[in-house]
Amino acid sequence: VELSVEDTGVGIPEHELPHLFELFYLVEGTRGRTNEGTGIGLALVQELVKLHGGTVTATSQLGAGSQFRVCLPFGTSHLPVLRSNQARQLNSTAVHADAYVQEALRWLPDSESAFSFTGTSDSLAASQSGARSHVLLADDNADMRDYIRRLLSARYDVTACSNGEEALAAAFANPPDLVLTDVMMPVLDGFGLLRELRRSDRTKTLPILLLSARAGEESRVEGLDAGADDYLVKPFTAREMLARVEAHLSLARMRRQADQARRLSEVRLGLALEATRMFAWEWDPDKDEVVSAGDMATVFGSALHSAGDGFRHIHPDDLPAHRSKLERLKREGGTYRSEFRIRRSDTGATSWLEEHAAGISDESGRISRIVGVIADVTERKIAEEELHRKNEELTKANRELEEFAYVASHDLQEPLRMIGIYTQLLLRTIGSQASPNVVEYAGFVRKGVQRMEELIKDLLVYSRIVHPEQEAPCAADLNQSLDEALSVLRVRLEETGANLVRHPLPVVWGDQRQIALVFQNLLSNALKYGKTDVAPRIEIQAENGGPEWVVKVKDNGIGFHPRHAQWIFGLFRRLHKDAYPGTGMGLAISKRIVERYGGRVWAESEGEGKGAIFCFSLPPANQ
Amino acid sequence: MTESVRIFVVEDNPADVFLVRQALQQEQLNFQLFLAEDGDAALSLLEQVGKGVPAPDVLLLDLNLPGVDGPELFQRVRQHPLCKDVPIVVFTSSDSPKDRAWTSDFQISHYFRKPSDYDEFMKLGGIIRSLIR
Repeated sequence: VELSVEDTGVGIPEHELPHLFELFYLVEGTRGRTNEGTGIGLALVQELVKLHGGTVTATSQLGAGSQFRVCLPFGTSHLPVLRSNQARQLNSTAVHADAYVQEALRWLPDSESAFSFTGTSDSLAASQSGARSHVLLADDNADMRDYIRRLLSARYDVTACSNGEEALAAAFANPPDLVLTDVMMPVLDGFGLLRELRRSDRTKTLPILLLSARAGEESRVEGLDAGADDYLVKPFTAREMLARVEAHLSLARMRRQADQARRLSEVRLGLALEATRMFAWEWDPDKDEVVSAGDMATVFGSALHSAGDGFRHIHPDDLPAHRSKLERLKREGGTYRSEFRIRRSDTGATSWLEEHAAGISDESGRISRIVGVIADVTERKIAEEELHRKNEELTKANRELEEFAYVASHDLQEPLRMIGIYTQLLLRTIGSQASPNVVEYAGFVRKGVQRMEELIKDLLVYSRIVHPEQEAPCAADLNQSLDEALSVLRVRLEETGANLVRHPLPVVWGDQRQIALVFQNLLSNALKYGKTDVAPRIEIQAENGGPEWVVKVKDNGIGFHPRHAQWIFGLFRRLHKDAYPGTGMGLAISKRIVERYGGRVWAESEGEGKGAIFCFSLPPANQ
Repeated sequence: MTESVRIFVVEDNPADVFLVRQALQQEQLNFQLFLAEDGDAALSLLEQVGKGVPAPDVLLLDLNLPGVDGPELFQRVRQHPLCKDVPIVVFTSSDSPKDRAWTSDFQISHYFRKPSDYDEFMKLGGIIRSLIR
């Protein structure tokens, strides 16, 4: 069947005819009675006819009238799935379908559309964000306004206004998240609304989308120049509009989030700078311009505007190094840390500054900006210098002390050697004529000399422990240290008939030979202070006490009163001066060695006659 | 009679010089001592070598002499054309690792640490004999 509709109206220009059935297409230069119209009617006709397997065509003569012709086939065989409605489900995405439905529903009165839009789109919108965004819509055309509002209200809260002024008032009263406005409107048009919104602080960052019924590159440029975020030209599809609105809303959301994050880090930075009494600067190397800076004057004594301003304050000795760091940063990027002295331009006082800077590159990778922070570290520097000076003094004093100990003991040994040798020579010279008294006296002199020599030798050993110059500490196998000590003491062990019980020992942090000296001192003590009626029994074992190994040397000797446990580690300390030989240095030397490697020494005894345990701890070798 | 052995002794302690003589006498060496008691004397003795004083057969050098730095004296000895190959016996009471270290740079023949026992001291004679060609 063919249906033909003819009119005697304004007609349609021939070049517009191919677009006639496109959605939202409005014929340009229409001289109709009103400007109303959405560009939907003919598109709808075409869709409906297509669904029925028909065709629609138009012919027209400008100024004379138009003729529309609809052809539809008879019967139902060309409508394959009429009953089940499946064809529709295959159509497109939910949003797309909704858009078409909305287009159709637009022709119904507002009140009857309640059923229309409760499906997928609502739940989609709800899942995307907790709160619905608020869109302000301005369009003077009631149909268009109603249509767009229906489309948008699925996802957003929509406030619809019929002109720019109304929209402006609404925007100020309750700022929306996005504004969608027609360009051509009475009272205040879209450009006017745009201008006013951009002028106010509260609304100047709002995303604004312009809608225009007329295509044309000029008006698009005009809109974007005026500060619109986007420009939608009718005809547009509902899907396109929704996509643009959503895109701009999420852009705005991201901008807001980024802005918030930026403000947060600015506040944090500000607090950090304040807490550390630092300030930040920013320098544009191309223009040699200090772009922004905290209160530079508080540090430099005057404001800085260029790198040169800064350089002028820097101490000439520190300037070349600092300058080359900055130059390299400018060339290669990265970061630097620089310490330098400055002379304040107001008071002339010198202060120490510490500066950290980083190069910021532009899209091409060139360093276009350098940012930095400066702290006044004068107090710290003074403290550091003082510490350094004290340290040097201490090192010097230590060296002098060692030197003194060495020289003193050397110079003490010399006359002693003379006394020793010449007493011998005297005795030999007198020979057999010597009275027994003379021989005895000479013997006392010899003994005195020997004892003095031992004392001096031990003092030398003790003084040398201070200075770890010979060998760096490393892993020391205590088993080897013990072997060494035992070989030195072999004769005495045999003489005393000592019973030695040794358990496996660990590897510790220290010097093997020095620890051998510790063992030697502890073992020789155990032998020396044995009971006269029992053979010495010495047991050596190690226990792992967590962060350190504890070595114990246990004997069955005369022991000591617990109150002496600390005292015996002092220099020249001897509990039994008359009965036992010795210099009283052995334990002091052991203590010094062990403490040098981060360990401790101590002694335990349950009392006199009850044996003793001498212990020392050292860190394990793997630390 | 064989030619006497010339020994330069740089030593400021006469008691030690006395013992050196005894040690050499016990070795029954026919020797001639050239004695310098301080650094200046040692340097001027060295200067006369080849100019009236013949080159020594052995040098016996103490380390801590008044007036001259030990290493400097050793250097001057080794730089002298007539002394550069003469055996040196270091003759000192020092047992410091430092002294042992620096003296070893001068091709020394023996490091004799002055003992406090008479018989030990007398062994010096045998050491000197062994160094004479």
